[in-house]
Amino acid sequence: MADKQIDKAAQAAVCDDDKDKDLFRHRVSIDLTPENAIFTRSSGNLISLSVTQPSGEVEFFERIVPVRSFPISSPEEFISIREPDSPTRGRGDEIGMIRRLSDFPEQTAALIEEELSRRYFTPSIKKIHSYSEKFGYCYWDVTTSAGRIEFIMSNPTSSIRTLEDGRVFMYDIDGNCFTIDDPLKLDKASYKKVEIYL
Amino acid sequence: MSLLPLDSLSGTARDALTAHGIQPEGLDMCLRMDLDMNGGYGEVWLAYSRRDGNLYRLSGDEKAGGQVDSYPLCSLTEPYIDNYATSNRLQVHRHDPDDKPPVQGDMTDDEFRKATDQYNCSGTTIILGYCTNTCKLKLLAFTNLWERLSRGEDVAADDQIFDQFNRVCPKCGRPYRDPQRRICEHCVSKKGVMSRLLGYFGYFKPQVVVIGICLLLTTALSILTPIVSGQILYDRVIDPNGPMHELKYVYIWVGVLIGMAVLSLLIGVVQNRTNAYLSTRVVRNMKNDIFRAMQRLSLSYFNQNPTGRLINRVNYDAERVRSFFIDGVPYFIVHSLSYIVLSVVLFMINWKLTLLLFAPIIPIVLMIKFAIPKLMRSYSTLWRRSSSMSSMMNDSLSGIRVVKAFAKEDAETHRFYQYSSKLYNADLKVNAISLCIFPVISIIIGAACHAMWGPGGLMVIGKQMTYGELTTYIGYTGLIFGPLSFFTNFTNQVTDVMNCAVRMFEIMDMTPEITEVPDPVHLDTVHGDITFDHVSFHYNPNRPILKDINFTIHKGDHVGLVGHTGSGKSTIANLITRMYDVVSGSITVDGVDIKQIEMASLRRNVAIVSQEVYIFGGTIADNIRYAKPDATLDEVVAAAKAANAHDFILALPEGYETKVGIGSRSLSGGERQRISIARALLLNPSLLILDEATAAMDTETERLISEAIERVSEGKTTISIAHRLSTLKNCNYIMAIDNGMLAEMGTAEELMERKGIYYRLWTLQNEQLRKVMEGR
Repeated sequence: MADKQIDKAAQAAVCDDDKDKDLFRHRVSIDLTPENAIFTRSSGNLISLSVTQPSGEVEFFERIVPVRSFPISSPEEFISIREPDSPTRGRGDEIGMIRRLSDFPEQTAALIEEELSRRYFTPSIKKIHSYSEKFGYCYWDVTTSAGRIEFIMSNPTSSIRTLEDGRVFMYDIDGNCFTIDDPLKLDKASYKKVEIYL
Repeated sequence: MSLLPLDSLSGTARDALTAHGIQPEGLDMCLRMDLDMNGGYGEVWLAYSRRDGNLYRLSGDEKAGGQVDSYPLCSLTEPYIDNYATSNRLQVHRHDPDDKPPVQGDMTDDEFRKATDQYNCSGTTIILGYCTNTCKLKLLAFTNLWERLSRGEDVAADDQIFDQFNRVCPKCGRPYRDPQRRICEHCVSKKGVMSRLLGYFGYFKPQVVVIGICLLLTTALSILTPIVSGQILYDRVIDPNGPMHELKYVYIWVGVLIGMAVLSLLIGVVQNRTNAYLSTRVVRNMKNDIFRAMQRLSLSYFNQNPTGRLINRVNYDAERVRSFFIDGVPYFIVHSLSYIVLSVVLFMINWKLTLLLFAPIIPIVLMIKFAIPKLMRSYSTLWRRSSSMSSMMNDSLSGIRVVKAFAKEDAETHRFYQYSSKLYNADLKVNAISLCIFPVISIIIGAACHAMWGPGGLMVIGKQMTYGELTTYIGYTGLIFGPLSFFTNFTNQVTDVMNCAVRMFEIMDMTPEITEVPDPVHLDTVHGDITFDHVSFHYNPNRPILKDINFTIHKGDHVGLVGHTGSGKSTIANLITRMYDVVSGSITVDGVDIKQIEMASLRRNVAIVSQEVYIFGGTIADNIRYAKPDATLDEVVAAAKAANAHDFILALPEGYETKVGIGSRSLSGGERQRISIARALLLNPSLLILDEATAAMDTETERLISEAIERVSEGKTTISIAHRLSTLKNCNYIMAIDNGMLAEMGTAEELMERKGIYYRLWTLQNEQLRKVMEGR
């Protein structure tokens, strides 16, 4: 309950135009460490954060948004923790940055990791059942780590991206993303269907 | 109340809801979300019922009856889509039962808004469900409808919002299988596309006929030649028992053979010349059509499609179609014809040998089928590497200033080496494969041809056929085997061309998002009154850009627009010029909704100088009179003077006739801005919009220009958008935009009094200036 009041007070401060101090207020991002940041699960199953600012002031956020800086090459590092965007106040500011998720206790890391994997929902393709091309659109039917799915891709040459380390990213027409961790480990029939684009 | 046409309940979902005592008849709308609560693919249903006053969520295993959660609608506020990178989460605030929304009563508007804001932020945020981007549009519509329904609005099944899900093909009236991708699978059948492509050749009927005759003659000649050389020259002339075994007949028939060769050459020349005439014209017409179609499209199309891709459409796709019709279709006809004729002729000569002859076709086709994809794959790698090398070169050379500034020449060269050696590898592979496949195929074909001499020879010895018949036969083997690789590859070619054609026609058939109404209002001159009436706008429904903007600008006003970067200032300018259409509300010019005004009238009377200045290739004078090509030189000079561009133009060696644009003299940022101001002033518009038009100039020049503009736009409406407040010195009043809303409006003095956004910006800029003055 006390947390809620802090939150309300913070909102009131934002709304208040008369305070000169607030005129140029801009949040300063800090390094988040296990010592100054406590992440908890909110009652609505989202992530809350209580952070101790260098000044000693403790701030509470009912929910925060973790964002990866390097979603492809370093998904567990440089994680920006932000205030949620608000329809009335615009884009959320960065509260702080987690340099390495592994610095945090296992439970916290798992909590953030779970949120991140939803946010960057990228099912990994395990098997390609069928693939056909018609009028420049490719129709795929695959089994992924999240279940079986069919998707449509336009212009496969630009929608399939192969990384140096062999990982493959595929984007469908709706903007969903799929990955193949190692195409060489797919079964032969599946590999053949995707080989031409690698 | 019937169910709104968003998602219709599946049978199992309907059963599950009924089993939990919820009547599907009482629902207003349903949404199917395609991810389960654990992050895998699955199904979660949301059902909204005003009658029950509840939102239901059906989740979990449907076979086990599912789990239904119900939430009283009155306790939920602000449904919000947390838009992830590749998935979406619908969340909402749930309030405690004792937490009641504020009632306006005797509160002022401001207080009420604050109280509502506070109420909206209280309570806990809960998750309603997840979905991938596939369901995103429906999800957005769902939240939109939720808000409207909860306001008590009545939404009918034919509401505008459902149009996006019910798009139908304009040709056949069938709904698209995928509403996002407006391709009607019925209308873009191969047949339909092909006949439309052939339509381009329809204008050139005589040429097509000539080519057809040439093709027929060529086929006939190629079939006749072996008969003349074999059955006639050998069997009747050279053979001692032949009826024409005389020297003069040798001369005659050899002469005939040579004549046939010459004739076929001449026919070839005629055919190629006609082809060249036809194909260049067809390509020109196609390219013209595509370019015209592109120019017609709205700005949003160009935002979504990179220029490079568009240029490719115009160039590559049309060329591809042309080469198909010139190098593909005619040969397909010739080869097919000769196959039919040949099989008849050959069976008549000797059916046993013919069967033998056709036997190797199957293995050869199989081999080609096997080899071609391999070759294609290596070709596509080659193509991709060569295009990435050119984009790397483009990148590096365009940024040569930066390269030099950081002394990175060696690093760039090294980077280029990497690309070029990758290209080299791909090139090597393509050559290795193609140099392997084609000789092998021709050796097999050659071997098959030579092998025919064996059984053929036996038959000649056994007197089953004459020697002449055998040579004719052998002469035909080339005609049979030669086109095999052409035929096997032809289907690929057809697919490829169909893709190109579909892409081309997609652009031609696309309807611009912004269109004129059937009977638009023509305005000769515009008075200059502008009204925004509850205008809202967004590109992405989840990120509103403008929210409920209301204001009126009167004729002769000079209005300043201020606000943070991204607050929506430029969007207001773009909406007035109708680059985009408002999402809701309306904009009127002189009391007429701009959607009703003829586009040409509007654009002639409203001029905008935008942040992005573009100088076309051509002279400076051409650039200034771009919008009014018939302007006199007097007008050009007057406009340039008003834009304070006259002096710098005269300092150039060729004055107003200096060539500018790509590949010519480059102008500085300030110079370009001044030319684009002159371009707008020349039009003598009733309404002038300056969107950061003087940002790249020093304060002195800016002052000169704004005074000149003040002079020429006496009595006309001007809207200036600026960050630098000194730019807005001459404005009658100022509007401050904050986060898409009109936060303040009034004279500069009034806004200073108010101590709001304008005051904040002013204080900040003054502070900076003071620091500079104090030397800090």
